[in-house]
Amino acid sequence: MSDQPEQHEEIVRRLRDEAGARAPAGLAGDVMRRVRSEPRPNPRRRPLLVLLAAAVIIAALVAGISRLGGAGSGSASGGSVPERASSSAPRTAGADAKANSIVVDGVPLATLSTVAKHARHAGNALFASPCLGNSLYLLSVPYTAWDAVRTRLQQSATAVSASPTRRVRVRLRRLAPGSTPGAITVTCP
Amino acid sequence: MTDALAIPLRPTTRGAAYHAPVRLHDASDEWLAKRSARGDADAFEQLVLRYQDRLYTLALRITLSDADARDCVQDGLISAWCAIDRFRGDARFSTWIYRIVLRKAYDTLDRRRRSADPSEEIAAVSHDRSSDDRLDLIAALSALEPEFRAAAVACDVIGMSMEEAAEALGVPAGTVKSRLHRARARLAQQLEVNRTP
Repeated sequence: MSDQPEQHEEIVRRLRDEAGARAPAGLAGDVMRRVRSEPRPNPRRRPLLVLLAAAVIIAALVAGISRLGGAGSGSASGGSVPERASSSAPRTAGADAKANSIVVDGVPLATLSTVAKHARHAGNALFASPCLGNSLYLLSVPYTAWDAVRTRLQQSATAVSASPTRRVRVRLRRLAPGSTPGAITVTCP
Repeated sequence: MTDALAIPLRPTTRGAAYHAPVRLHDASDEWLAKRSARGDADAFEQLVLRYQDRLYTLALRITLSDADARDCVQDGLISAWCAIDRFRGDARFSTWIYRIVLRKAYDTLDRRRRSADPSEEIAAVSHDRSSDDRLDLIAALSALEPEFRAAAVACDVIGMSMEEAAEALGVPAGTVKSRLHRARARLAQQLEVNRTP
């Protein structure tokens, strides 16, 4: 019944004639007062602002990255950022000497075993389960033995072996002078 | 006032010829929008004067509140002024400005719903039911759900085409068509019932 086209036309006519409203007096005036007091952002300046914001972000990123890099090589932080000494990119002796914590990749397990032979709480048990499947070992090295152990591990990592050997990653941590234990300690992470 | 204003355009870059002065009153919406984007407040005022009644009607019939409608139109026009340089002219200016004010009106309805205070809406409806208790056209329109009401107001009251209403409402044209049909049917039914003694 209410779907009759005539009825719909009547509704349309009445809506058009009766449902409109006039804006309250003063509406346009209020709007224009606000418009004239509102500083509209200049579209020509927008690309400049975007460029400026991008430059600030990039500068902050560069500053942050260079700061991280500085902490890694400066290394008074006690090994919070490990210094890597891999066979492909060996560190200079001066830089390594200063580092308190380095990671040496590709150390033959046999070399680590030899070094660890003299380690406290280590011995053969270290290489038994559950450490057997590990590829990362943590080595706490007394201050006085640091250079010798580091050099040996780095050399073994770069040395070419004729026979196939399992290689692991070793993180060395230099103990403070006079700290205990006085011997090398090997742990499985 | 602004009818008498005539703004001569700058000479073209190619030659010394000047365009004929354009009276703001006669200028197209798109031309006025372009002038507004360059910061011409007089051109924007012409648009405000041209559209204020239609925008107010749209907001009033959606929000069912005079105060809210006024706020929606004011906020919508200020938003339009701030963003008019983003109006590219792909759509008609009218569609663009209707869409802005419609969004403000829908935001008002959402806020009202979230505050879960139905008294505001009831007060607004009862205000529109005018002095006598009979359901007149406005009251019947106010009783429709907002989406049906919006379709009826956009097409039948404001006079938007189906496509323009679809763009302004952010729904497909088919949806506007079906909503409009149902809105008219409900209104007809409501007014018929009302006429029956």
